[in-house]
Amino acid sequence: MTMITFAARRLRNWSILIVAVALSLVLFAAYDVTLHSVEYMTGWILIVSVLTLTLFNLRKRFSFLPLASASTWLQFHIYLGLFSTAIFMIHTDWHLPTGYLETLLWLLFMLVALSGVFGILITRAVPELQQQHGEALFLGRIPQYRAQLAADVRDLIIDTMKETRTRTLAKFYSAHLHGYFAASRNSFRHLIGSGRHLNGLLREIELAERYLDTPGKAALIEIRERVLQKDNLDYQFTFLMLLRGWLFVHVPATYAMILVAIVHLLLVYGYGMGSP
Amino acid sequence: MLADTLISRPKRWDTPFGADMTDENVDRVIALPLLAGIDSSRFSDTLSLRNILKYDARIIECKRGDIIVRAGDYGHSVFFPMSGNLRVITRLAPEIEASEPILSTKSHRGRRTGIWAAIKRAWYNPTIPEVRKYHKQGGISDYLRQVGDGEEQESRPYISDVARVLETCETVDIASTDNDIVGEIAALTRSIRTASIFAETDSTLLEVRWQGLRDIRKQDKNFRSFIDDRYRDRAMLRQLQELPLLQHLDREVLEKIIKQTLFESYGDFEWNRSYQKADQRDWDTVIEKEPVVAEGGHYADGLLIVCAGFGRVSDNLDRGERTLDYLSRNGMFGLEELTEHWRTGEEVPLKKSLRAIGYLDILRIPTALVEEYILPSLPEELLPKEVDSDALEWESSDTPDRLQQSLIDFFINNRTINGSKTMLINTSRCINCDDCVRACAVAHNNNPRFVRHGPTEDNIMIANACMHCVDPVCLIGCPTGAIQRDQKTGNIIINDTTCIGCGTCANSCPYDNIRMVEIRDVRGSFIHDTDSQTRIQKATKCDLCQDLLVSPACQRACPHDALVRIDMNDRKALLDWLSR
Repeated sequence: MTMITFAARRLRNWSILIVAVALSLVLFAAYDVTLHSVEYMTGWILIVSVLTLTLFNLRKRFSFLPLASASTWLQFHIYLGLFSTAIFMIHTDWHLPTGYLETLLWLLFMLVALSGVFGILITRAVPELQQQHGEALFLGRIPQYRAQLAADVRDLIIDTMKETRTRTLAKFYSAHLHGYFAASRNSFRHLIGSGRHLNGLLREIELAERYLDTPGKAALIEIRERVLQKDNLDYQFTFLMLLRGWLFVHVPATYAMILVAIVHLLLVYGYGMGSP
Repeated sequence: MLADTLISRPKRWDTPFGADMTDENVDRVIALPLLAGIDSSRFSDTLSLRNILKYDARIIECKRGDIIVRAGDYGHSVFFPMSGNLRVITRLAPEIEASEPILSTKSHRGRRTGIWAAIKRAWYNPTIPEVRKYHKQGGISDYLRQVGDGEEQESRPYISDVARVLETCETVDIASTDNDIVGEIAALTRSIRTASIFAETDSTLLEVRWQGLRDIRKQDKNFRSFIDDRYRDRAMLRQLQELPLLQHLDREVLEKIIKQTLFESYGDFEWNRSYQKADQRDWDTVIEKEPVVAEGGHYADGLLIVCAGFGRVSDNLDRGERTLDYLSRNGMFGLEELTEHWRTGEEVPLKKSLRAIGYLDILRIPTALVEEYILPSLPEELLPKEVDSDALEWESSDTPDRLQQSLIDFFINNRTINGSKTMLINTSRCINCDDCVRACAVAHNNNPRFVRHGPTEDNIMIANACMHCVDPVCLIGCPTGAIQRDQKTGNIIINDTTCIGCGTCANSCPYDNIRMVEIRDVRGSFIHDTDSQTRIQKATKCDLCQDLLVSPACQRACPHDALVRIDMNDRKALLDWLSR
């Protein structure tokens, strides 16, 4: 079986999306000509689309059922999500609604849509970034690696102090390294691609070197290596958390949006009984 | 200072195949009609026929019902019936499959579950690891007989109701007086036994392991002809018919080709042992140690077709050998040069070398036959393209259908080329969501059967998951045949019921993809052996979710198209996936 390339798949899916949106516009125009309310139609399309989109999460739990592959579901999820966004813009006539509930619904929808777009962008970009930065790691193993690095540095310093009675390393450890190795650090700087924190620490290491004898200098070289490793751990941790974290916005916002949408639907039908 | 430990360098025959091969027994077997005709003067003193029989053979005493080989087992020895009668099961009755599970070629999870059973799985999967339900005492040990003493003791499977098997199954009789041998094709081609054979009466057999068979075949022309004729009759035609290059030839021509085609073996049958020991990063040493099948610069004396195993195609680049490609079953070598010779009439030396990676069995079709029968009738699209001799090397060598050099080296060095369902992960797309691991766990009673970790080159990771190898060395030595190739799907499957937890397969797997686990009952308590009170172990690995409605769960669960189960010898699929 020939595998479709990602580029070809993207082109095909975007083409289908554009055709679907164009056909919807024609349909709405025709519906409008018959003096029916297009908002009711777009509203129902949105409800059905959003409920269909939530099935993707459910499908993950039933991986053993013949329900098409998760990859097909994700593609469907992405493009149906984009289609829903287009329909939503038509439904809201491209502007912020006036009522409180509708404004809340509008904001929730935008939050879901934008977090979704953000999610898909980072799922494509982050693995590449991680790979370029250093060894890719598993999220679950990072605390273990971090603890190992911290223990290695502590032991190295204690051993060197026993051997050389250096005070520089002890002071350096308590001032710069203890906190650095104790937890994940500099997440924001990693996110924005800044290396200032690392350069600063490496500079401090360079400055400490002049106070050390040969064994101390050798220990410092090893410490420098561990600092670089820890920096990669922090980098990987930050981006792995980001890859998981966006779902903590996308999924709860989706359920909140569905609840508000149901209230919105009830109000529309409650107050609009008899409308065409 | 401590003194160095001194030992004699380990030699081939330090451990004989069987302990009972006394000189009297060697005399006894050497008198067998098939061996009596062998000219022992052609053998060297060190590799004499007597020594081969003494160290690479053993005598097996079978009781009525004892199973000699089973369908699905991996062949590595040949049997000479000395007395008694054997039966080959050509069709296994379904009721026998149920009553004699030792003969079954299906795994315990061979049947696909229904839709409701699949849904039930989501709620009723045990939370305790490796739970097994045992409804009765005993188990597979009911079908195993202990033979031999001490270190020589082994479990031999047997059929409990021979009369019923004879009554219900289709069988073929082999009497010792037929002077025949059994299991030679599987042993010679390192392939899966296609039928089960059992002792119909108390019988005595001579079992010769592959190494011995190879040496006898090499030294004695008559024996070689006998074995090769058997191979030609039973397997070669089938293999040649698989080749697109020969598909347009009629049977008569094929038989002419078969008569003159040579069967050759290179390398080490037990390559997995040396592979596990060797440092694969030391590429030059690894390549140097590989037996050369055909060397670049020499003239091609025939078309080489890979029968079994793997071959490395390389060329000499300045100070080292550069790997260009790998060949597996039905891969061909030398066609380009032979075609050029046929077109121009000029002698064309081989441009590349072929080496055995591990071991390699090849068929050599002599040049004259290729030029007389194959090339003239070959459709133009199957003929190799004419090479522009004026083109610079770097203009012609890297065609788009070639794997990236680093990946070729990576796949060969890690022997991933052995995989028919290798799990590759594109780390540029994998977001560590673990959906694959979860899906695998759900499919296997909450026990994931792979580890999402493994050697990585660039953005390609070979995960620790059973690759369902083309050459499944894990099958060698399984005493109960619990690990076998599923005849329908070709997947390597462990029958949990017949697995006795000896760990032979796990130790043999060069990729560490088989795990021994201690099993528990539904309450979570470890299950113990009645006699020794030790915990019962089972071998576990990826079974490609063969009892699921859709499989494999890992690949289907990956939303980002990062994971694939791929046949490493399907070059097109591999390139398509890599260049997606």
